[in-house]
Amino acid sequence: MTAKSRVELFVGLFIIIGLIILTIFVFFIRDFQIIKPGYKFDIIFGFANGLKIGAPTRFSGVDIGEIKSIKIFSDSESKTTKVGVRVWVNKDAQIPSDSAVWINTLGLLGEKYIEIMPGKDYNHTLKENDTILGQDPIPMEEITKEIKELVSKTDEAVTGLNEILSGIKTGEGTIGKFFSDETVYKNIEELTDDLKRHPWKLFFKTKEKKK
Amino acid sequence: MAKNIISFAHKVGAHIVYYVDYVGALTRLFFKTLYWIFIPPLKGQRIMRQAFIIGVESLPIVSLVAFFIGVILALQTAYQMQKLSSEIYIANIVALSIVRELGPVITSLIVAGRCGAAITAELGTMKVTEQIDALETLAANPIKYLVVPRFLAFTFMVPVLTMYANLVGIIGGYLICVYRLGIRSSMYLNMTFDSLQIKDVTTGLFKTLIFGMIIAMVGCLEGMRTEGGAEGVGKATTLSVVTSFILIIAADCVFTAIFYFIFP
Repeated sequence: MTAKSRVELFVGLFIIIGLIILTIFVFFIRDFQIIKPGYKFDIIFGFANGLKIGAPTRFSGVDIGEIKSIKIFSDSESKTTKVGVRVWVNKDAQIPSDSAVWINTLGLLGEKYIEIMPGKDYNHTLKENDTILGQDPIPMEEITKEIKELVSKTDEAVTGLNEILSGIKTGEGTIGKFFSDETVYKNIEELTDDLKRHPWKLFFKTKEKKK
Repeated sequence: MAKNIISFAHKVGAHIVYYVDYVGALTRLFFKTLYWIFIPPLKGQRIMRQAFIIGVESLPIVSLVAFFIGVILALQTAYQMQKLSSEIYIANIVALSIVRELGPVITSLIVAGRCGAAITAELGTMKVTEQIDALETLAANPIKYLVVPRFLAFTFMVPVLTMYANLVGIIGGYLICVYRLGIRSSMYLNMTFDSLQIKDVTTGLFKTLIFGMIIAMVGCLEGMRTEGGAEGVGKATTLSVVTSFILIIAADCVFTAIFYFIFP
């Protein structure tokens, strides 16, 4: 073998191995699975809560696909804005058409994904281009609003209780007197003491009853 | 005082003119090279020889450095990730940093230091010994004869070398994570390929095409401009390496910014 052809051999080998490495990278990378067999269907939400293209779709807690596109449209019947999410899923996933679909949050960073909880109706499963209604997530603002209301209600209740408690502390009102005044206690003590010494008093019938 | 200010302004102006002139010469050489690529005959033999020197002979050192970079990256990330007890994300960080940034840049810097300097010294020596002038008298265009093969070899070999560097760097991170930090092998590979996207690989490789062109152009330009004997060759070689490094990092910054805004 001449020196000339050896150089060409090495360069060729070098480039071929480099291309093989590139192919390995390209084939192992996840977003290549578009070519895998699967089907697409639409989910309609009223509120998407920051869902992004490429976010995973989970069926029974397993990643089975991803979001391909999100578009917004106005529904002429109910006069509201709706969000249509197109989802690609693996062909192995048999999704009953009465499944519950909602948007869930993944991990601490708050990445959104679509959660599908399988339903019971396996006679009707989703097919290519089917449409399913999604349950709307509760917007964060609404949760905050409700928490705020709850807090203000609790606040009122606590203020009311505080007033009563301070009344009791200062000895105002019936309960206050009951707590602060020792007369009742002394009376009861005297009574029990008296009853211990003269138990017959319990069975004593007053003369008035005889009338 | 006034004299000092004037001489200072003069110096600053001379520097600016020098750099503008340099960029102009570089662009001119680039377009001349592009022009001469399409003028037959294209000698495959010359390109092969350069490709052998740049690609095959650089592979051991590029692999060694990429391996160390992978190991270092895994260890340095582990230092912080263990505090958050999320060691599994080391795989993502190693894969993304190597494929997107460190693989292309480290490979280009090594090739610039190793082969860019070599071509400057080679062409510089030819220039000061008047061999380039001799070529012209033989009616052989020095750009066609000397620059085009080197330009093509650099442009196509640096991306291929980068693929090797990416693989070896990820293997380095893998070895540390699997055998020292106790992450499951399949889990590591899964996280690596999960975090990577096609665009990470393609943008990384696209950058290396540009870096290869920069190294070839700067190396050839410095070589062809060499003046003043052996000392001049030394100076030109130093300048070639320094300029390539600066231009590679600057181009990297520009392209990273462009890709960041174009492909978010």
